[in-house]
Amino acid sequence: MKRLIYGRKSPVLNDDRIIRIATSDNFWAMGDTGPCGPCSEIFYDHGDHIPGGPPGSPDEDGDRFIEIWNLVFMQFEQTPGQRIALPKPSIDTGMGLERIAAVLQGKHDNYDIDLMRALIEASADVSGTDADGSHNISHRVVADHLRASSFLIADGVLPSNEGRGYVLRRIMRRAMRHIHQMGCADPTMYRLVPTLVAEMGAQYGELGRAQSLITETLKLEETRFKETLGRGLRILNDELAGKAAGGTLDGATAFKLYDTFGFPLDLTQDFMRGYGWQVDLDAFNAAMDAQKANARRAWSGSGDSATETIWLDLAQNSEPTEFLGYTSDTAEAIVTALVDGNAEIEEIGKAGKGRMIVNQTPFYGESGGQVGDVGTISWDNGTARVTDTQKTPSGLFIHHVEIISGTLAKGQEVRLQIDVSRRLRLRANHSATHLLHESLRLVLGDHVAQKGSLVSPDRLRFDFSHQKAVTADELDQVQQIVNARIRMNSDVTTRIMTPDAAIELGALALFGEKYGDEVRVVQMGGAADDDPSKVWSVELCGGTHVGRTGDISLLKIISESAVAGGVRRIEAVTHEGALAWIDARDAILTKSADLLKIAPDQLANRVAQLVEDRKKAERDISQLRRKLAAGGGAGNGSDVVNGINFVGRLLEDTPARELKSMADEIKLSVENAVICLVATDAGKASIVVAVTADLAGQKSAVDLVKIGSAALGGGGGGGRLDMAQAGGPDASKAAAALKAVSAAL
Amino acid sequence: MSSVNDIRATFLDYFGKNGHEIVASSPLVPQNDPTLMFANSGMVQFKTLFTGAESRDYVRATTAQKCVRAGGKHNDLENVGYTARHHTFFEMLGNFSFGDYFKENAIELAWNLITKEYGLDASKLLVTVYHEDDEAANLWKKIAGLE
Repeated sequence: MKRLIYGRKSPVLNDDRIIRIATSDNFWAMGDTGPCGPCSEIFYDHGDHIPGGPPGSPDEDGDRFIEIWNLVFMQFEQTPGQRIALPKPSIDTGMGLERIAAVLQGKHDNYDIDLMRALIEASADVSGTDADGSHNISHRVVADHLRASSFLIADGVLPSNEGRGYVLRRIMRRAMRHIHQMGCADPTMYRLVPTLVAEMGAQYGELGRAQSLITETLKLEETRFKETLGRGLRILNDELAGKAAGGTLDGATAFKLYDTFGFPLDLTQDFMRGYGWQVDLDAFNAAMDAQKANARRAWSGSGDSATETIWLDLAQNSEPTEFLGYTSDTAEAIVTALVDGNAEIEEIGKAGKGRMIVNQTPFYGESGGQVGDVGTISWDNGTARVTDTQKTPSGLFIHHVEIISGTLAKGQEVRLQIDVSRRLRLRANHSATHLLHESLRLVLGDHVAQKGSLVSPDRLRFDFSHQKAVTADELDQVQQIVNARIRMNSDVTTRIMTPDAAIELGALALFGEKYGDEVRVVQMGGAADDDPSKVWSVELCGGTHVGRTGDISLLKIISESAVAGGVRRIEAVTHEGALAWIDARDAILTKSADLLKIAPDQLANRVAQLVEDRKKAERDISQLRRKLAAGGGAGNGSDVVNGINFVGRLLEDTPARELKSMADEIKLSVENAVICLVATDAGKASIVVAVTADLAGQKSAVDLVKIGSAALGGGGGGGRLDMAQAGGPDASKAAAALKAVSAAL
Repeated sequence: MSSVNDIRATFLDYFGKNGHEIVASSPLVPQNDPTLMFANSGMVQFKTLFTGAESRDYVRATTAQKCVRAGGKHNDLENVGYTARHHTFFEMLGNFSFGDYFKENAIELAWNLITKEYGLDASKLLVTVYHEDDEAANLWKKIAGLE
């Protein structure tokens, strides 16, 4: 509760317009420690025709006095013990654009300002409804959520079921539910994107650059959502049917809608709110917690922070490592730090391991998907292996070293040498990734954006946004385009420029990535098809690349798969790796063809024929077995035991599943009979006993089969009185089982 | 009537003319803050400047920052559409001083923008200050003539 500190006079408007507030509303802190200080807020009085009191008064939550600007005076530093005055205080202010626009445009409602109004009218337009009619709340929801969804997608968020992606999905689906309510049968939200780009694209260029990705994403999400929306709404309508307003939906139903139909909780709440209903949140949360407990997974990306603090300390006391590896495979450098675990050390001795920082290096530190370099270092009387190289966000290159001989000391001059052949393969794979990216955009569309990349010496892996599996035909086209660009053997050029200049050039920046004042722009692939003055592939990239595309030699796509909703993955090999992969495939073909004593090009026909032959042979064998059982075979023939005909058969290598049909067949040709078939297959035995109809009531197949099963070392068995089956582990007792059944008669 | 685009441009131009670097909005997904799901105010991209961990070649900045408030268990999402001022996405205009000007200039810059550039009627405005902050109260009296 706010407490009003009365000044000289009571805070009546025009009498005292500087109001003192004692709550945290007017004291800001960055966190438990760090900068903090008092705030001053500017309010606008919309006039006495609107209810509400001035800030600090009991009815301050009314709508008459609206905060438009908050000024934060950061004048203290909070430490665990005390609050100290900062020698150089700072200012942070925030003014909601929609609020000030409402005030300046003489509106009381943020949704009446020109920008929001344009979106609301577009929503009314595409849905064929009145902007201010019964669907006015829905139009407001759509206008707001369109902005949030589009900007999130432009900054690299895609709908998913966790983290940021789930927040995006909730926002999109809430808008789509309202669109559905307006009676739109087809996906509609994406049709509003052009209006948003027209209104906001000038200020936020990312919106236009991501327009096709935004459009595709919205369209697909709405298509998918519509598939379950109808069923989910039917469940809610059933809950509501015949009941009064003001009820509560049970948590289990809300959770089922969430879990089975993809209804985010707030969507269910929003729907029920329209009928004056609430949702039992405690029960919903309990159901959610129970599910989470079953499949708990840590949020990715935190890293092992305890051991990383050393690099923060080092970064503060030293310059970033200078990377020389774009142009050089070797370098002389000075060891600036050696680290063991989380502690700085002076030297690493014989057979020791540790991590090393130098002032400059040719070793590429893992980043942008390209793995770190390996190689060797040498000095006056020692050598060491570098097994990996990492790069910190602060720009330090961490070399993982293992001493081969001598002692490596801080301050030492060393010579660094990367593994050149490995780096050549990395270069080829990284450049091929760029060509692959551009080809995918050409074949699949501009919505293709990089979502992840791994460039290793052996292969490359590229994850990208695309909503469905890439067809074999599309993959073929992509591979052909990449290889045609490789064969053109044009120069790969890298340039440093400002981010704006790079985007002007058509660079594929990663949406949501923050770039510094300068970016490295990698161009390759020759001239663009549609505009000879432009370069085919342009990307912001810090990786190492081939000099000419011909150095890649060949790209072979080896797999295409799904990674997550809307994200596909392609794996490919290049250069010697591609040749090795093709050789390995060829070897498999040759070996298979040799086994069949044919030429490899006849392999497919021959295998198809063999498969057909085998099916036919299996059918024949099955028929023969049935004939064999009916007509004789091993075991004894037909005996008369105690006035009953006993047909016993011992069948080797016969699957259990065939016994019943065999028994049925025999039953057709005998009377007053008990049939007992014992089959052995792979060391186990199975038994079927059948009783002819004229013995019904006198002999039970179930009782008899149990006796046989016991003889086979098994137990139980079951079926009907005229036909029962059992199994046993001991095939060697098959003959004994026949005898046991016969004896039981 | 000024459009939203005009109002934003007026703000940035005004602080630009007053020695502020016009800095682009940071992406909605924060780059260096693992605790935050989305950028939710203008100062997010300047945190390290305020703590002194980083410095840049400017000491005054102004931005129109993209913000999203929709994360967390309890949030404003369900109110959006039904109220006059709830949004999941909004833009926040801001001016920032990193150890440069302080309270007096901040109040003066703010007051002049809203009463002169934006032309709001001063009699419709009132302010709050922290109850211990006599300095701010006195500056408002001096600069804005508020009582």
